[in-house]
Amino acid sequence: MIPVKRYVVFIIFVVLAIFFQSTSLYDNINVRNAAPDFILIIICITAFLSGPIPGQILGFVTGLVVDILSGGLLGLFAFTYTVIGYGVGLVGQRVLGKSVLITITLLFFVTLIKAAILSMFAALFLKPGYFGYFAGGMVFLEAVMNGLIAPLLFMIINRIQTRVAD
Amino acid sequence: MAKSFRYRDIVILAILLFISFTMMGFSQTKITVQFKSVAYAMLFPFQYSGAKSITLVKDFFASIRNNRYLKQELVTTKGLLEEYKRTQHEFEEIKRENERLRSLIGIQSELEYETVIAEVVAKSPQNLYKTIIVNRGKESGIERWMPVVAYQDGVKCVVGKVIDVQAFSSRIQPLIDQSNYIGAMLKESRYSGLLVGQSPVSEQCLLQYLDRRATIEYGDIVVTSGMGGIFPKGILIGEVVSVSKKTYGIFQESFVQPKVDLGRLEEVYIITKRVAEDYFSDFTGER
Repeated sequence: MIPVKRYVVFIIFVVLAIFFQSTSLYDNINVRNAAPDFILIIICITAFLSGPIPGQILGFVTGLVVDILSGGLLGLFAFTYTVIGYGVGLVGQRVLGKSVLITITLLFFVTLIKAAILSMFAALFLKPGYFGYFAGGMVFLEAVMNGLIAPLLFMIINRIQTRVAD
Repeated sequence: MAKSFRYRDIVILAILLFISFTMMGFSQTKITVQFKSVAYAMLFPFQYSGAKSITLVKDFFASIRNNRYLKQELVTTKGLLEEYKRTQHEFEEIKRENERLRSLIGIQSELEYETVIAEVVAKSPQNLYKTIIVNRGKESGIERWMPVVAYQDGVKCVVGKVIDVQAFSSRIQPLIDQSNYIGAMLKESRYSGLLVGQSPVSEQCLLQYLDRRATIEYGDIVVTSGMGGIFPKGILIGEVVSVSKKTYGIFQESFVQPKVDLGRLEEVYIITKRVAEDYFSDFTGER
């Protein structure tokens, strides 16, 4: 049986993250032009807790919404978040709940993978200069931020979805 | 069982990746651009209400925090208002004199365009793009490629240009975006070049194709040249922060720090200057 209530929790969180990242409030937490990607973190947590299929489907739909709202290359974020949703879903099931350090490390590397895929396709389809997005130091700063925020969000979402499922 | 489950995962993954990749491939075609526009028009009300409610919460707390400064600011503003009233009178006199002198020496006044004030309601949810959404669209007479400016610290400065228009909203591509090109020139020496955004790599812009003979110094003011066809001449862009003069070639380039602070942009002015769509069909410069 599909745990609809649990999925609703993930959807609500991801919608909130999209709204938050669309406001000027999000600019206030920028450090040297880098800011945590809450959308990515929530997709990772969903994949972590529910496996590769929900992870990649949420990744695809969320990515498509982000693409439409950004007005950029259609399919770019859909592709990136799908790969991440699937990958984290596979790895996550093996390391789930083992330690906070694993969550931090995983999010750190996932952010680097996200930046690598985005800059590769953006450079390929838009302009070669976009490759600098991955080469720039801000990606590492974003990766550190994501890694640090992820355990806290993981704890909150995990607690809520467990309570909702009960 | 587990094997077939894994097989199903991979099939779904392959389908989703194929759809995404195909969309990327056809992203610049007319049908995809129209799909994006229609999809965005459907999502805009949700984005608007969501972003607005989050901003309302932020504004509520900010208003409580700022309340104690209001009285002090009111006193300062009253003083300034008196000063401005005096200056306004002097300004009108100078303007009339200027017009009279211009007509005497046969120079026409610079064309002034009407503007539409628009509120920034949302921005791109990802740092890769820096597009801004405003609450004015076709119903306010906004068209694609219209230039956008803002007043920050009392100065009019370039924000970017309109790249997509819906009925009640428009998307603005800021000047820092990599795909943005603006005809620019140095205010003092009048040497012109092409300003290109660098985002997401940098918030600064690169001023290219500047004549080697130009003497550029740190802090030089850069304004629009009016040669790109979109922006009227003379609007402030920013300041030179570094110069790169190679030992070869006929050009030099410099990095420009834009005056506009996109992070605290709340209102913008869209200059209702029409640019014909076919203008871009055989022109590959500013676009």
